[in-house]
Amino acid sequence: MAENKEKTYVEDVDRSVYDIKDVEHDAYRMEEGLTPAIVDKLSKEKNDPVWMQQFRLQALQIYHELPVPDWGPSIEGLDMEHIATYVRPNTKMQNNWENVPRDIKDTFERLGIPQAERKSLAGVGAQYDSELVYHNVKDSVAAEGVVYTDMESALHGEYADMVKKYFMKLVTPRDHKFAALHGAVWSGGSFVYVPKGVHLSIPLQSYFRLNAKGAGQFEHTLIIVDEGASLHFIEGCSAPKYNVANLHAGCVELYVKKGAKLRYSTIENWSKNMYNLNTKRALVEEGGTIEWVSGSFGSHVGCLYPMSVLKGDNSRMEFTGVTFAGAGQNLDTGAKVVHIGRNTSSYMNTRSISKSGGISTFRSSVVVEKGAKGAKSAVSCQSLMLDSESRSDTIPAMDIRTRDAAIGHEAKIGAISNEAVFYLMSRGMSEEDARALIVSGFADNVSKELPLEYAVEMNNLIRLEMKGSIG
Amino acid sequence: MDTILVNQLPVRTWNRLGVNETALPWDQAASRELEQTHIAAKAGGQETVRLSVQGEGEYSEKSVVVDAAEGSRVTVYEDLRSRQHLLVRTQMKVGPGAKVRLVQLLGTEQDTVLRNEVSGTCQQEGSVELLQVLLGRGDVYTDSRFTLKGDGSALTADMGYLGQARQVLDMNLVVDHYGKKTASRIDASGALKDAAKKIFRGTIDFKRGSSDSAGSEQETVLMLGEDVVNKTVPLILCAEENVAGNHGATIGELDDDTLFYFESRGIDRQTAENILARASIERLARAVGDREIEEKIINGLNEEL
Repeated sequence: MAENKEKTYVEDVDRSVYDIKDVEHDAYRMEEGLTPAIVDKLSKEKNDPVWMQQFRLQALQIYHELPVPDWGPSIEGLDMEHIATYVRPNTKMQNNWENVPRDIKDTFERLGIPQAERKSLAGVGAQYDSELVYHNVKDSVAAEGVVYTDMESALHGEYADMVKKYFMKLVTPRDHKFAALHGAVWSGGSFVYVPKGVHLSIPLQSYFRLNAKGAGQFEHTLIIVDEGASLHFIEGCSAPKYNVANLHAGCVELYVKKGAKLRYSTIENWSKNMYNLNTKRALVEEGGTIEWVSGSFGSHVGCLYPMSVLKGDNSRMEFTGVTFAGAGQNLDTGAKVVHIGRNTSSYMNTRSISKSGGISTFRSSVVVEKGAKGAKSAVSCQSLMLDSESRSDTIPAMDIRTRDAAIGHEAKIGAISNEAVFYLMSRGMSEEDARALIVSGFADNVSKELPLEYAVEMNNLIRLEMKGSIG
Repeated sequence: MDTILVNQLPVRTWNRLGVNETALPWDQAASRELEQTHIAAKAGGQETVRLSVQGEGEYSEKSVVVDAAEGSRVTVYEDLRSRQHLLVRTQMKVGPGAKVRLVQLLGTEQDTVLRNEVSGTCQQEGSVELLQVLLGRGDVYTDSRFTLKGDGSALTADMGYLGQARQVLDMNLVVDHYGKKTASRIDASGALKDAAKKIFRGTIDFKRGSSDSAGSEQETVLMLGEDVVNKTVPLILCAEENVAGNHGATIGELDDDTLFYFESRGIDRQTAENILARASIERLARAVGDREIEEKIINGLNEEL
């Protein structure tokens, strides 16, 4: 009997658990569009202090002044006139999952958030559409002076002055059009403060779920890790898929003080109708370290370039990322770093996989200022294309303004190596197993940096099904 | 006076980096057109041509057309020296199995501008070897674009430069792979002294259908001045699965190990830096294979270092 050879393929990311839609029982849904009246109404809904109300309106004005960037993937399908910028779920924020409305709680249960909190987290914030529905931090962590609260509470409470001092000073509304949009309509997100010398041995996590159809999520995350302290912060996100556009334009501002260390891990798994235009930036003081760990698997169009400003002498940045672009996806990801202090160092290690017509672009920027003597930077980017329907582009740039720097960059693009497959087969492995091993190992740079539970989730997102031989 | 955009990146990136293109003042209306040079090699034939172009008047431009018929071998030595503002366009049509070797010495006097545009289309098994040396004191804008249309066609490009004083060296090289089993190799290396500013954009673009093609790009920059600015933008664009593309860049000053090696042999830092600054250009000079051009390059180096 002739063997039926089946083509080997890498299965698309399995999205079933993320695609379950809750019936929308919103307490309030802002009308679509973007006008001063809408922003004013939003500000009143959130009971903003006067300075924030004015800030929002100024940001809206800047939004209308700035053009859409003339580079990167097209966002023609995004029509702000048909995006609801604020959707409030029918619950106040709780600190006990039992008090969260059942449908919302069930959603987070399916996503594994309460379980993760019980097993391995120091605190959790769960955002549903435009507001947090759950926020809790372990007593032992709070007792050390760690602050982990929602942004709205931080804006009004004892940390109000701190928030005002730092809010959108690192990512300003003038940065780009969608930073301005964020400044106008932001809602939700977390404020974290880790006092001097405090080391959190287990992570804090925020999870963002956008359930509403045709809506936007604009959470703001502000983290300050004070001198000599350390923190691992994990964020995750997902949304069910609709046939209209959703928008995510969040903002993350990270302040790493002298001698402090912050690891910021993200598993991004938005649905394929999502426009993900997120902005993340870290400012690192003397001797501080920022580590980014980033897995990008979702969105229809994604633009994501975490940026690190190495302001202090001996400050460091590491960026480890993997991007998987499948059918209907155009994911433009990478990282940026600016070396300002002396003896700073940066390292970027990224992988990307494109299949079924997906477009993956790696985009990076390494800038070394004139005073950044002793700067060291290394960028390594590898891209794997699994078919000729897809696309993979590498667009790095280096701007070096001091002779006292050592800068290296390398990039490779290609298909699965036949030599590597042959090597493994010569050791007794089947061709199917060999190719599976190579592809799963390709994304290992990120999974090995994550806590086990998140590595498992990430590997579940890249599930490989190998049958027969490659044809 | 117009402002023209030169050396445009095939795919744009962040505008604030200032690498997407260069805006250059250029009085197009005032430009005097010099006599065109047409170099043609018949099928299976061989041609070797030397050109020396210096420009006339404040703005001038020259066109060189190279037509290499099937199986021919053409070598063109271009000594381009701007006295004020000079634009030289060299266009190559490379027939099946033909080989064109273009050696360019791009020299500029202080406060002058040289624009150099090179383009080439290669048919099946056709190849181009490009060798460029940038040596002088004025500003050079060089834009080279190649289309590897036919299966098995190839490009090798070697560029060497020495930037000094307040010189601007602005380089752009794009190779589009269309045919199957096409190959490209780009190697750019040089040194920057004083307050020189240099940007190198190198793009390898694998179009759909260019299966079994390979492209590599390497840049090495030796930073020697306190006020130098180096920008490096190595792009790989890929729409084809079965290709192999890679690029690498190394940027920095004389490292401690190399300096120790020289000093342990009685060579001080300044001398060591000069030796290394000369190295990338001397390497290309030896590869030229023409005594006259080689001497010009070495003499030029001796004047500058």
